[in-house]
Amino acid sequence: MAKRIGHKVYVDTIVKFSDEGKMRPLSIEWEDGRKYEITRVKNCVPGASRRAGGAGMLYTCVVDGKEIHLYYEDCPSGPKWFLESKA
Amino acid sequence: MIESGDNVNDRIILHSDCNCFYAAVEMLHNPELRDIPMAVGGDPEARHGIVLTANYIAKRHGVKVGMALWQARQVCRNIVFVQPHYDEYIRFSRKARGIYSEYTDLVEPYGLDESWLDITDTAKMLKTADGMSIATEISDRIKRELGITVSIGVSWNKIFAKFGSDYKKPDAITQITRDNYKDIIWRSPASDLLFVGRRTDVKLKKYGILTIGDLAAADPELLHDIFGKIGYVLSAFARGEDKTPVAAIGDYSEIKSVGNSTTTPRDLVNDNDVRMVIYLLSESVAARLRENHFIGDVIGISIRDNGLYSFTRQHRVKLPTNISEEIAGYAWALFKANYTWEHPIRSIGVRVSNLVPETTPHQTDLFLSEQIREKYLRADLAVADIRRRFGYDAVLRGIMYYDRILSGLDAKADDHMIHPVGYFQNGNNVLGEKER
Repeated sequence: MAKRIGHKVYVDTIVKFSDEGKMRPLSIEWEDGRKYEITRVKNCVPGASRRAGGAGMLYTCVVDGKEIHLYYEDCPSGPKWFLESKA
Repeated sequence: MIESGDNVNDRIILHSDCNCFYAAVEMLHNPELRDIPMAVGGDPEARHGIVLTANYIAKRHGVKVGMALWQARQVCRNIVFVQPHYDEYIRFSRKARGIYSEYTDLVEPYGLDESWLDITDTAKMLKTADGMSIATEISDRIKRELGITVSIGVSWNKIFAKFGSDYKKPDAITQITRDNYKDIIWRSPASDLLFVGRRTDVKLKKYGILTIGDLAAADPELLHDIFGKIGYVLSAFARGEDKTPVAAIGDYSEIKSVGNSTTTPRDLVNDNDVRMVIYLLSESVAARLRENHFIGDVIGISIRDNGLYSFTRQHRVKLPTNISEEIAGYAWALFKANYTWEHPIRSIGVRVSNLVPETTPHQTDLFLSEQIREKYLRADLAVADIRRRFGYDAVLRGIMYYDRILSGLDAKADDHMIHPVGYFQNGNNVLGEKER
């Protein structure tokens, strides 16, 4: 279940690991329980979100035809995925 | 690009310094802290500890690194204290170094938040071939990828590059060239030069040496007479003649152990001699462990006798420690169990390894009082504070008076040394001590 801290929303994410060890997020679950399929990963670069407050790998993904920024944060308490909330 | 007046053989050295590093990482993760005065420090609940880093808002109120938390509260009433998260700082430090290492393999860390980079050869291979443009690129990347800012100094030697990174903060790049260093550096107070500490500065002032320019102009022999060997070094640093290379990645590998060893002024001939030196070394090892926020549970000793036969022994203990009394106790027990005094001893080392961050939880021992352990730790901290303020000799263990020549030795760090700061500052202090 997603968890919100300020503008940072940690989301449950289904990920596929390739046999070469590459990660690709397949879908995310938003705060309201709805699941969204990631139809395309356009880019994956190191990135920080000042708004949400975190740094890690920034996946630019396409969901429902819209571009979203999904972050993979390898924090010491365990790796997590988060999104910036606009609200 | 060679600047006018630059020597074609000059190196291009960058010094990158993460601004208010601990505070910046905390502010990134907690946006609410960005617009208020805040500081990262010891345990505010327990009402002890010191300010490790403060953000710029707090600094403007007069909060300084090293202040007790209550003092910081006095100068800045509404300051918010945050407990340190070293594992996060290490993660960010690694990320920053990862970026640096994309530009050169000559990356020398100076603590968690600072690094020197030698980009002389790599600059030629990169599309951007001068120091300033690479510095700008690095600065932009750190901001974009880590969400924090850096100040970078660009120069032809490490000392001036470091000066450059301190010159303008935050989020700035300063180039020190052969054309501008006399205007920028020489007019600055001598204390702005790396390795001119408070004590050295006081002494320099006595001789009328107020600025770095004065230091550069001073007779190196006079400086040698005042400070010993470091006098020549300071003189060369002030003139921009520092040729110290930037160490390659791997030369400063991750800290695996902290140890000190020493060859004693005279051979050690009995248990008392050895105990004294073990205490001396253990105090220094414990202090460095604490400085770097580690505890370790493998205690090791190395012994070399006057026949040059040497051996090492190590022992895993129940509780990881950074307490000098415990380290000395374990080291002493190891020595007693392994040495039969066939020959006098020439050299001894004490080492703590299998390190973990000091905040790592551990299972307490039912038969070992945590209260007593804490007392020993507090005693260590108090001694460290007294020594910081009044010099090393201000407080000594009784055993050190058994032989002041032996206990007055300069316990040099061995090759497990973490970074050159402690070693250099130590050297500086020791020279200062001899002066008095």
